[in-house]
Amino acid sequence: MADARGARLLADLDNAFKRDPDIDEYDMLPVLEPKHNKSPFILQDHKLGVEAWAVKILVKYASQRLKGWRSRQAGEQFTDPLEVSHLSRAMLLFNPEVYTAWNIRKELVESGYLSVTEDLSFGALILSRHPNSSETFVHRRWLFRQLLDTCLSSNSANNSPCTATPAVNNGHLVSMGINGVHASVAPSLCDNGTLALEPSRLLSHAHRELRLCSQTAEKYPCNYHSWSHRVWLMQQCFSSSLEVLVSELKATESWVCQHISDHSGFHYRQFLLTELHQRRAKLAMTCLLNSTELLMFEMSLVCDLLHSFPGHETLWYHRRFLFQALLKSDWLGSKLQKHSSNGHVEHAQTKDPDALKSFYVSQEIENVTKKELCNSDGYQQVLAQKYVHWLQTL
Amino acid sequence: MNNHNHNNHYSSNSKNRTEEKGKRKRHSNSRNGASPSSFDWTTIYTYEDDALINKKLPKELLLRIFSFLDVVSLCRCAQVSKYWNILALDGSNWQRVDLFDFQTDIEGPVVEYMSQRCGGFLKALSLKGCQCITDRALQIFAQQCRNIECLCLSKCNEISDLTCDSLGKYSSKLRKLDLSSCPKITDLSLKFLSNTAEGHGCPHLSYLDVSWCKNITDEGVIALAEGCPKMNTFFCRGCTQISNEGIEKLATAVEHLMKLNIQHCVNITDEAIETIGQRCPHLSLLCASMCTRLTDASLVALGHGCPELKTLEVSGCAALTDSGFQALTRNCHDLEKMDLEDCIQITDATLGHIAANCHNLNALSLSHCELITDEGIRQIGSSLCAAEHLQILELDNCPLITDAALEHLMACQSLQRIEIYDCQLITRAGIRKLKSQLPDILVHAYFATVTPPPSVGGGRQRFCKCCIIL
Repeated sequence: MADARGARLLADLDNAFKRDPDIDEYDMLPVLEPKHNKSPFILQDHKLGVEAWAVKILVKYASQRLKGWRSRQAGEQFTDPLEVSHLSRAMLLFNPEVYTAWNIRKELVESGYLSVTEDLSFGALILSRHPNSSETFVHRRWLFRQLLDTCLSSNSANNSPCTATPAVNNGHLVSMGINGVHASVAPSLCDNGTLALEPSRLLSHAHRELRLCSQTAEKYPCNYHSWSHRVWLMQQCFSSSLEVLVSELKATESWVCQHISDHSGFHYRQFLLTELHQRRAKLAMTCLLNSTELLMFEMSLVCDLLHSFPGHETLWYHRRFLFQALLKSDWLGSKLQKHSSNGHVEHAQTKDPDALKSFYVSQEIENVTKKELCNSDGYQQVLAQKYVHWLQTL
Repeated sequence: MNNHNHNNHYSSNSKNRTEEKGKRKRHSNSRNGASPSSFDWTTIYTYEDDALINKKLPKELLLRIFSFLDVVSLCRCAQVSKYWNILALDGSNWQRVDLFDFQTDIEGPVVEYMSQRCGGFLKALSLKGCQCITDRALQIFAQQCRNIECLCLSKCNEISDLTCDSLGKYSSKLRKLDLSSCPKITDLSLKFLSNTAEGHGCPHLSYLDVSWCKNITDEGVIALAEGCPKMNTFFCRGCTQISNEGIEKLATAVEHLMKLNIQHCVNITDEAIETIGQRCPHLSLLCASMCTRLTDASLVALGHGCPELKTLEVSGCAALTDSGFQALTRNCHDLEKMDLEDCIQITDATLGHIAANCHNLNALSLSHCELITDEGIRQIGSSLCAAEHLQILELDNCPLITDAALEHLMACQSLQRIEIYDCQLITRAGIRKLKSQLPDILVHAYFATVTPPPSVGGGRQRFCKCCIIL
């Protein structure tokens, strides 16, 4: 009995998507039993509602058929690829962690029955309901690699070396187009004047991806997978280009101030700062920015937040990172030793690195003790004490 | 089981014998390089002939038994002993071969080898889904197996017109050919198969399926019609380039067109069907689903000219109305299967005509025919066909149907399946009543139709967990 309904439910789902290819959100409606002989799919304003009782039947049916197809069972071998993609869609909408279904979609993409853009928008739909789905992000990275491959191959076929300043890239033609371009999507003009569409298309996908990362990070607190995906995007699609890193730093600043307990968000900024610091010479040359200044600005930011919002462990850990980064950086040799937490300007007495280090550590301990330990109580005090303890082990 | 395996039957054979010897406390087989034993090859041979089955059954009976086996079993038998190897691989057992279950494992060499072994014995071969088969392999096949009568090459993506060239040259006895979903096939294939190209053609060809071969056009169909007058079954689903011209020529030139499937051939209009009505009095199956340009004129023509029509599928032909069906059913009393899905102009009047005239009806689909009401179902339910013949009835997405319709169907003793998805006026109670009258019926609705198992041990209430927990 359940099987018969499964086929019908799948057909209904397919019809819903056919009627409205722009569905951008979906969810389950808490209807446990069908009261009327009515289709459980409700479609309105690009939102899809599925009554809860139908989900189990549909997923079971889809998984049965996919398993049969995969293992080349007698009746199922010849399932049309379009049908297979519909089955995997039904499966993944309610169970995005089943990577077998994702792998099936990979096979379909490879044999050309499914386009990368389609699959990307489908993944975005899934992320609207399951923002923390690791398998979805893994699949998206694979899709991006496919895009990158086609982009590279098509560009080499066109024999079009784009005019580019020698950006720090590892062969990714994408970055050649975006030097001097910030967040806008501008197709790059090549030497021979033809429009290199592929890199711009990839760029638009990448920007959309960044927006998606922001949305999923918003929907689910401490969304590790979403932020890691963002890191990956920085590294692979934007080739860690300095302009982009700097703009990301600016973009996430306000977000992080509003989500002060989101460790993944802070970790992302740590990644940005590390990257920028590693290439500080280039940074100084092209963007006229001093990475140490960035670190110190961050430090002042975190100290402000610590004052305003006592009792958030994330901020303390961010401070630890920043302090260590500052220690390791050429701050030791720099003239500016402004400790903005108390506004005093301290000057180094010696040039010996070890002595300098212990000097700054003790400075920091003093600052924290003065400001935090005395004025606060409860959890903030515990955290401050832990921080001091950690400083002492440095 | 790969066909190649039977080449290795000696080594596997000796292992079997070794085990058997072990059981009978004989020494190990000298072939394995072990210490020489106390017996020699002659002992082995006499042991083999001593096998009871070989003593009791003469060769002819063994052959007869083998003739019932399928490919896998035959290959396994061929590995048992040298004697059985000869018998199992005898051509007479390989007249009908179906390699559907092996599919992508089947490559050219397999087909070539098999052609050589089976030779003139092979009459029916199915290579459905064997995507690695090439024209070359089939050329060798055609040359070796001249007596082939039924050949299925559906979904063999790699084959092209060259294959049909080979078939046209060598397979003069070919009666049935399935080339569906072979995208490289073009009109040239049809010309090779008919007599019009150089070569002999397949004059006895009576069944041809070129569904989803999108390169086929009227030209090929015309050539086919002229060259294969015995054609009685022609399927060209999805061949969108085919138009009236090809179909009319087919209807005119062949002797007895009986089955025609032109689903999705959107260029077909009433003219072609009218020609069919005039020239094909023995037509028993017509599928013209999604041929959206057809109107009532087609139904009138069919009514006039094809009284033997048994199956009519016109789903998606939204221009058809009651008057067309009235004309059709007036003369076509043998109709058994009708698919009228999406014929949205149909009303109860059509059902009345069907009920009055088609007494053998066993499957009727009225999905999405939104004007149908309980009254139409009442007429069907009380007609002569209902009680004995009606097996399948599809009423999904007919919003005016209510429980009353289900009551009208209670007399249909043969009813096996009824579809009522999205008939929102139907209630659980109505379905329950129907099922109490017809206990074996499958009612497909959105309601869960779990029948609780008979309670064991005093009628304790059992919960159906799947309906509660997700």
